[in-house]
Amino acid sequence: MIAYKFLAAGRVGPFTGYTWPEREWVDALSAREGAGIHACRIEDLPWWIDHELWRVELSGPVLERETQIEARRGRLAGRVATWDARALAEFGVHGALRARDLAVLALGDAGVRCDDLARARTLLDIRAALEALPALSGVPAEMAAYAREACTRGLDGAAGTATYIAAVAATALRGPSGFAAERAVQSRWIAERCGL
Amino acid sequence: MTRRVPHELTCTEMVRLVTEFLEDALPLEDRTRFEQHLVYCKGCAAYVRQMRKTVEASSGLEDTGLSAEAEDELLRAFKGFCK
Repeated sequence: MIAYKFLAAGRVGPFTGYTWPEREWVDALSAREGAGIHACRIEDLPWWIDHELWRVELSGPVLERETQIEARRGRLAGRVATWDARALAEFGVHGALRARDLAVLALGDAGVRCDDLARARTLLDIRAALEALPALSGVPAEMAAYAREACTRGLDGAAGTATYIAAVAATALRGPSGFAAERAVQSRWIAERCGL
Repeated sequence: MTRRVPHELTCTEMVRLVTEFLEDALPLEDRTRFEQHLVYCKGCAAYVRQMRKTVEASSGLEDTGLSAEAEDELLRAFKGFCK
């Protein structure tokens, strides 16, 4: 089975510090569930983003969980070259733009005019448009705050944070199902951007 | 960060769980939520890196002895911190 795996720069596991060899099989540390080789289906990718994305070949039974899969053996089968520093930064911008879109919906529902915010094309313009809004309260204020924070994080290159904020904003606007729905939007973005 | 999303860990909870995380003693579900938090929270990611380095550095220290009084005082202070 071929799946995906995000690693820190240099093929390093972000939580274990383990440096993955290229194309050599790696065995699970033990038979205990959770100690195996973790990987992503396409829908899992937004939860685990990092600097490098690899195709990983898994061997043996594969356990499927909510946001990841796990096997007893795995090996890196090749790096996804389309996921690079630029793609990572663009993913953060995508999160900020989505948070803006959700804020525009909430403001519109509340009868707040936000044409400049809706039209803004850059994260700096979005922040300026947010600053120009009248005093807000309740959900519109919360949504504007998410959009502002997502822009700041997107500008800082913190893509994981910006996209997480977009998912939280979707929850604030649409209820508990909003989070998974936004993560689904993000996984489609990664798949299209990277040609997966 | 936020409690808008049910079942997600807050930064305060991350601090409380960091020892179990580093000792690989968290139940799988908690470990997964802990790791997901590290992806989006740069502050907690830095904190875990610092804790890892601290554990590595202190593991090379020699035990030069600690008086029972000082040990009691430290334990009291730690329990107070956890409340």
